[in-house]
Amino acid sequence: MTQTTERSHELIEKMIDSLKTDAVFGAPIRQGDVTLIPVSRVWYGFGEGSGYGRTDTPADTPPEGEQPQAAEGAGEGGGGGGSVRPMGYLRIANGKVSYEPILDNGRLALAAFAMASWNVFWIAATLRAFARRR
Amino acid sequence: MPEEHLDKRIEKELTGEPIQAGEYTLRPVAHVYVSRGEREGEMYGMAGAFVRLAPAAVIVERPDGDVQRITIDDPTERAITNLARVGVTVAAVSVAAMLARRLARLVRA
Repeated sequence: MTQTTERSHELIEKMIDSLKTDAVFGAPIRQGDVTLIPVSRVWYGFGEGSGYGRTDTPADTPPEGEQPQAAEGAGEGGGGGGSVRPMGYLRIANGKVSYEPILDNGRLALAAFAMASWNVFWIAATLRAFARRR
Repeated sequence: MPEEHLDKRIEKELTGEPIQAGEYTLRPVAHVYVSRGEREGEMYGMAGAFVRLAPAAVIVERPDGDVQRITIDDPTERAITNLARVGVTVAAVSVAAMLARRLARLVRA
C-alpha cells in the first residue's frame, strides 16, 4: 500500500467509526414550554491521489563532463467538499412531539423551472415531428 | 506489482444517544450511506470516499412508557423526485410518439 492510500484508508476508517447521529440532530433549544431540536442532512466527500514517474531518457542535456541523469517526478493532490442542509425540526410542546419539515422554496423553484424547460423541449420536439410534412 | 482495487459500500441505520427533552426521551435514528474506493498500482495510488448522513426517524419514549416512532422525511427532496418522474415520463412519451410517427411514415411509404 502506498503512503497516500494508507493514509486515506486510515482516514476513511476513522471517519466511518466517528459517524454519529449528533451530526444530523442538533442540541435541544428550549424556549418557554416549547423545545425544538433542529434536524439536517449532511453529505461530504473527498479524494486523494499520488503518482510517480521515471524514464531513462534524460530530461535535459547534462552539462559537459557530467553523466546523463534519469528523469523522474512525483506528485500528489487531494480535495473534498460537503454540505449541510436543514430539513426541519422536532417540536415538543403541550405534551406532543411532532416533526415540522422546512420546504426549501429556492431549490424547489429552481427544480420546477428546470423541469418546465425540459418538458417544453420534449413537447415542442414532438409537436415539430408531427407538424412536419411527409 | 499488480493493480489493487478496493470498493466498498456501507448502508446502515444508526441509533444515537438518547436526548432528554423535559419528560420525554428521544432516540434519534439516522440513515448512513458510505461509498469508498481505492486504487493502487506500481506507480500510483488513489483513494476517495463519499458519506451521506440523513435523519430517518426519532423514537419517542413518553413518561407513561408509551413508545412512538416519528418518521422524518424531506418534502423538498420528495417534490423534486416527483418533478423528475414527471420529466422522465414526458420524455419517454415524446420519444415513443415520435418513433410511432416515424414508423407510421415508413409503413405508408
